[in-house]
Formats: sequence, structure tokens, C-alpha cells
Amino acid sequence: MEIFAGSMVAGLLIGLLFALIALGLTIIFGMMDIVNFAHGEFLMLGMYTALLTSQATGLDPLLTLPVAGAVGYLLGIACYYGFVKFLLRGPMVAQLLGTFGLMLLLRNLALLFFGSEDRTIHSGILVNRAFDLGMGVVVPATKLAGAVLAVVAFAVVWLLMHRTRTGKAMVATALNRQGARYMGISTERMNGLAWGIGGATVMIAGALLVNFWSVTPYVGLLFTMIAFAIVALGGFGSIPGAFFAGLIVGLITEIPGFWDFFTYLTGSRWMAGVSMTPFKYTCVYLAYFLIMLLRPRGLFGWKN
Amino acid sequence: MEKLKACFDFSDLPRLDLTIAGLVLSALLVFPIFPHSSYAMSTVIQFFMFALYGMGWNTIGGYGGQVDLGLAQYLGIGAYTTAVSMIRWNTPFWVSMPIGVVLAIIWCFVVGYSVFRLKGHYFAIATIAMSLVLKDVFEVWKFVGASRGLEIPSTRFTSPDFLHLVFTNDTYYYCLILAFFVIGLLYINWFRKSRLGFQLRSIKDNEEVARSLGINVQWAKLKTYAVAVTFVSAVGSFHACYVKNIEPEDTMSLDLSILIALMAMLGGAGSLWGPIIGAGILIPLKSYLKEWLGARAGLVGIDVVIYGAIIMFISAVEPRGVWGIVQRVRRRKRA
Amino acid sequence: MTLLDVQHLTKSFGGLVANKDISFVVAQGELLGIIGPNGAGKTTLFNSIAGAHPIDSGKVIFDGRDITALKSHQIARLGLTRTFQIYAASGDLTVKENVMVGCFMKTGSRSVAAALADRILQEFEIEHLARSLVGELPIAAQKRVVMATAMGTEPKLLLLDEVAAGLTPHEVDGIIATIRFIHKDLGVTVILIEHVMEMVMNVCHRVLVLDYGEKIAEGQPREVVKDPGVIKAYLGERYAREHTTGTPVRSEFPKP
Repeated sequence: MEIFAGSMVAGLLIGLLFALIALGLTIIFGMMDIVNFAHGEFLMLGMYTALLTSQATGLDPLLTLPVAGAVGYLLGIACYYGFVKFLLRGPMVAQLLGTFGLMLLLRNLALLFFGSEDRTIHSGILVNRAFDLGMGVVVPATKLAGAVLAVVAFAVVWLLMHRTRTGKAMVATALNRQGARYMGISTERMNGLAWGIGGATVMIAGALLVNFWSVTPYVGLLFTMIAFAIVALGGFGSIPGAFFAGLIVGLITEIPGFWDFFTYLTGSRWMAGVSMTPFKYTCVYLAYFLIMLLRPRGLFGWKN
Repeated sequence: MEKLKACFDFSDLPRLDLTIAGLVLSALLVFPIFPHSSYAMSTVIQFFMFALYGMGWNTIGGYGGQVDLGLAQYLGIGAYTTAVSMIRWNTPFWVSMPIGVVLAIIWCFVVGYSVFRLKGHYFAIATIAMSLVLKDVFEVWKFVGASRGLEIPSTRFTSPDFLHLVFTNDTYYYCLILAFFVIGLLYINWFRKSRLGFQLRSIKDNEEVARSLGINVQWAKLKTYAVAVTFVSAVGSFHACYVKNIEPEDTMSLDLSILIALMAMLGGAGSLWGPIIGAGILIPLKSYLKEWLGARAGLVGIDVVIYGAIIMFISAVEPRGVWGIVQRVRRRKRA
Repeated sequence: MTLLDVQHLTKSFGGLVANKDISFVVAQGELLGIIGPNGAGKTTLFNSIAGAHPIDSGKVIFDGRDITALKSHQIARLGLTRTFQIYAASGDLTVKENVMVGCFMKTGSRSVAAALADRILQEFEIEHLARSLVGELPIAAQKRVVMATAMGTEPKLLLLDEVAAGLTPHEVDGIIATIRFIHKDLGVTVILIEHVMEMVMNVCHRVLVLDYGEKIAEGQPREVVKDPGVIKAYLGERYAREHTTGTPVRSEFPKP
């Protein structure tokens, strides 16, 4: 039973962070129908930003969140006005490959500057602390804080999008681009803003992630694919969809734990012989594939 | 017979194109006679391989407009089939390659049957997801060496072994891949003017209209996918014999899939020369950037930085590739 | 002889009934017009007949064969070809290549298809455009290419969706001549959807009127326009007045 509850909690906690990672991707997609392959690379840069800032200044990694957010915002805006703007005029192929080029560029710039070795955070108030939630479930403080702050960030973005004037303009642009333009909304500015918010949220997520996940320049692709799966599951462009889909994908990555639980329950020899751990993320890809085939609009279809 | 004749019929192309193509081809033919470094030789072989991968992608992605970003999985299937059967059963290349192609086609029908219902980004990402699933399986599958991959024991055969393609002199590999290249080029020349080629271009234009003209869209896509997969998987088998050391990371990765698509994109998707031009620019650039900046100057990663920048530049400025520029200039001249 | 027999065809999208219990027959060699205001379900009717989507209930019999459950490419191969209102030619097909795509339905040989395409281009008087890209042509020429491409499939029945929309009166005359040519000289049965009244009045043997997805009138063009229900619902009082006083009419339906 402990295994089950432990996997459940671990899945939900990491799922909240996944949701925050996917938030930027879904906002950008909803806004301009563009798939950003470099999304995971933004996350990687967020991880490095937090790590290096805390190492350089001696600050606690948690306090580097605003730095990561600010860098992410600027990077997102720069990417939009310097590059993505030009992609939007071209065909879809060019958009796919263009953001892929951005991904290669960012990844290998990181390789050039930060080197290829694994890096982890060793200090900080959260590191090496854990909470006992009862029933034998022990949660590392880093993951718990990551999840809680992810929810906070999610809520802030949600409020920004639905309570402020600019946010409402963004939602309107995502719903009907032409209409928004007639209303005097500068869709160009909204696009830039979407990239800014997307960059900021994903880099904050990176700063949270780096507390318990080691960083290399190659870490991005995995999270890009996870974010794609979440966005597909939640419906392309849907913010609440991304939230719930993040939780589901978090649970999917805990499949090895559930597998062990059911192995124990059924006492099946066959199940005990199969290790699911290498297929942790394969399940995510497979889930993406199946969702696309069965529910192309996502589980909670939003943009009709 | 008519088909064979159509393979050699280049008469619809401008004479200038044919002259340049002829000159380049003859330059490549005489290349091994002149003194060259082994690095140059391997670059040329790489060029042929990637031109062929690109031609394969170009059928489905260029003429058909279906942006597949998972073709590397079929490369992996070809490479692994050849490597496994050669290591375990001493199977000759000429037997294992067709087997690999058949396996790849079977797998492509499984994948294609489901993904061809999707469009645009959804299609592209679904192909990526599927290729990553296959790669993950190969990473843990003990039979194919898991993540450490396989190594073909070349000492078991005496060079030159034309059955198993084990040569110590790269010139043999060169001749073989050149022959593949010429066959591939002739086939594509037939394909682009064939019924299937026309059907595909119509599908790319508008699927509804294509259906109204009696085209079975799903089946046409699947057939073309099989063509693309044949190219990639056959050359994948060759890749196994040539490099002799294969792992999932360098035969099935997403980067490789995108690199394949990029050949055609850069040169000009949906044109005969596109993938060849693309490979002709990208492959030498890639290998020499790596050699000069990566290995000599010690700047690991800077080659791919420049590479990424080039991709970004092309997709933002001229998404129709080099061939798109050529055509625009020609059109302007005619007008 | 009956070529097309549509029986109680019904199709709805969500709550909206686009085609409601529509029945009609088309005889071999006939030229039928379908009119009605925007949103009356005309294009949906074409889609239903040509198999672009499954229908809710009813039956479509073409050339003595039940085609209700067939897919659109299968229906096209039986000799029922439809054209589309909006032709989004973004691609790189030239006019001749476009017509050849149609010709490739009946033949697998490139030389046969090319010869057939050349003949069709000549018949449609667009052979001088053979090497132009379809997307770069003016609308009138594009519509001609669309019809030529459809004729490449050698249909028995041709469904034309608003081939005269957006054209000048002079260009409409040209399109009318082309439709007459397809119908008389090539002997193809034609159903056309049209907004341009003059064309329907001049060309069609018989007219079918749709409104809100239902068939509300059917008959000879001269009679249908006199039908009080039709006048009121579709043509507007003004059209009826002008028409009865003999003023030359070149009007489109009022848009709702």
C-alpha cells in the first residue's frame, strides 16, 4: 500500500510541475498555432540560471526564482521579435524546423558555456529535508515546494489572463485573431507577450526543477516531449486542460511504481520479471500517440 | 519497359540543370582517382547517404507535404536488422538489407495507418512520439545490445568481402553507395512524374479536392511512406556495414530524423534536386565545422550552434530552400 | 433513364439540420440547378451526395448503384465528380499537371494522361495557360481549370459548386458557354449550385429550391420564380417586381 500511495503522491507532485512546464507551450500554441521545439531548452536554461545564480551569489536556490522568471521573460520576448515573428509568415514545415533550429542553438550554446557534465544543487534550505505524510509516504521538501510554488505560479498566470485588461486581450486574441485585430488589439504585441510569459513560466519551472533534478545541456528534449504530451492531452491552447493533463502525465511517469504495486497485489511472476523503469517516459510518448489518435482535441477539448 | 524509359527521361528539365548535374556527377565519379584524405572520402560517402535519406523524406514530406519527423526509426530498423543478422548468423548484406526493408515497411504501415489521419503539427509530433517509443525499446532490448548497441566484428571477414560489405578500403563503400545514389535518383525521377507522384502533389494541395478526383488519400500516403521507408531503411543497412558500430542514439534519434528532413528542406522540398543540394551543403559543412572548430579549436558544440543558426535563418527567410530561390529567379527572368 | 436518385436524405451537424428529408431524381442528360440563400444547405447536399461525410439517414442511388456508404474517392471512380467552391491552389501544380491529376484516375500511364490533358485543355481553350501555376491565375481562369480537371475523370455526372460566383457578367457568359459545352457536346449530366440567377434561368432545365435545409420547390426555372413562396422567401419582392415588369435582371440573391 505504501508503494501505491507513494507513487500516487510522487506522481501528483511532479505532475504539478509538469503542468507549469507545459503552461507556456499551451499559451503560445493557443495564440499562434506554433509548436515550440525549443521549449525544453528554455527549461534547461532556467535550471542553469537558478543553479549558477545561487552558486555565484550564495543565495538559496529558491530565491533565484525571480531571476529565472525575468531572464525567461526577456529571452521569450527576444525570441519572438528576433526570430519567431518571421517564421509565422512561412509554411508549417518552416515553423517546425525553425524552432528545432532554435533548440539546437540553445542546447549547444549551453554545451559550449556550461560543459556537458551533470550538475546538481547541494545546498539550500530545502535540500535533504523531507516530510512524512503518514502511511509511510515521505516526500522530499524540494518536490513539495516545487509543486506548491508551481500551483502558485499557475494561479498567478491564470489571474493575469482573466483579470487584467492585457490578459483578457490575450485570451481574446487566442479565441479570434481577426476579431481581436478589429477591436484594436495589437496581435503582434500579444504574441510577444505570450512568448514572454511562456519563457518566464517555463524558466521558473526550471528553477524549481533544478532543486531535485540534475541538469545537463541535453535535459531539454525529454521535457519538450512531456510538455507536448500534456498540451495534447489537455487540448492545444487550453490552460485549465494543461493543469489537469499535467497531473495525469505526472501519474503516467510513476507507472513503474504502480506496476510494482500490482505485481505485489497479484503476486504475478511474469509481472515481477518485467522492469518498467526504463519505460517511464516511453509511456508518456505512447500516451501522446494514443491521445492524438483517439481524442485529437484533447481530453477536455476547448477550442472547438 | 515504359517505366524504365521514364526513369531515364530528364527531358522536361532545363538544359542548364542537366549540365550542372552531369558535371557534378562526373566530378564525384573521378574523385577517388585523385589523392584525397580519408576524411574527405568519408564526407563524400556521408553526402551520398544523406542525399538518399533526403530523397526518401522528399517523397512523403516534399511531394506529399506530410512532414514526418520520425524517419530515423526506419533507418534504425534497417541498420539493426543487418547488424544483428550479420553478428548472429553471418547473413550477407544482400539478404539482410531486403529483410530490413520488409520489416521497416511492415512497421511503417502500423505507424502510418494511424498517423496519416492527423494533419500538420499533430502529424509531425505523432511521428516523433512513435520513433521515440521505438528507440526506448531498443535502448533496453538485450537482443539488440540495449543502449550499448552492436558492433560488427569485422575481423571475422576478410576484406574485401562483397557479400558482407566488409572493406578496409573506403573506396569500395564509395562505389557501392554511388550506385545506390544513381539508382535512387533515377527512381525519384520516375516517381515525380508517375501517377502516384501526381496524386501526392494533389493531396498536398488539397485533400478534399484530391478525394473528389478519385484518389484514395490514405492509401496513396501509405504507398509513398513505404517508398520513403525503403530508401531510409536500405541506406540504414549500408550504414551498419559502413560504420560497424551502431547504437540507438546515433541511428534512431530525433536529431537524426530532423537532419534527414532538413536535407530536403534546405535544398528545396518537393523538387528533384532539393535533397541533393541540401546534403551537398549541409554534410560538408557539418563535418568540417566539427573538424575545425570542434576538434581542433576545442569548442565542443559550436558546430551545432552554427548549424542551428543556419536552420533558423533558412526557415525564417527562405522556407522553400535553395531551390525556391533558383525558381524565383527563373520565374522573374521569364516574366 | 434515372442517373441519380436521392431518397429522403437527412444530415445534421450537432443540433443543426443541414439537409432535411430531401428527395429528388436527375435523369440522364439533364441539367439541374440548385438554388437557395446562403446557409440553405446546398453545399452540404453536394457533400452528402459525393460522400464527403456520412449521412444520418436516406439513400443515394447513382447509375443503379447504392452509393450511400461509399467514400468520396470510390464515388468519384464510379463517375460522379464534384468541384469545390473555393479552390485553394497554394501548391506548385501547373494547369496542365492539375488536369493530369484528373486524367490519372482512369489511366496509370503518364503519356496517356498527358495526351488526354492536352485534348481537354484545347477543348476548354486554356492550352495557352498550360504551364502557369493555378494559384496565379485570375478567378475566371481558375474556375475553368477546375472544370477541366473534373472532366479529366470522364464523369457521367458532374456537380458544379458555384462556378460563376465572383465573376463579372462577361465572364459569366464564358462560364455558361463552358457548361453548355460540357453538357451538350460532351454529353455529361450536370447539377449546379448557383447564386447568379441569370445563369440558372438560362442554362438549367429544372431547378430545385432549398431553404433551411429543406426542399421547398422544384420545377421549370420560369415557373419556380413565379412560385409565391419562393419569391417571398428567396428572391425578395424587388426581384419579382422587376421580373414581371420585364426589366432585365442580373441580380444575386439577397444575403440574409
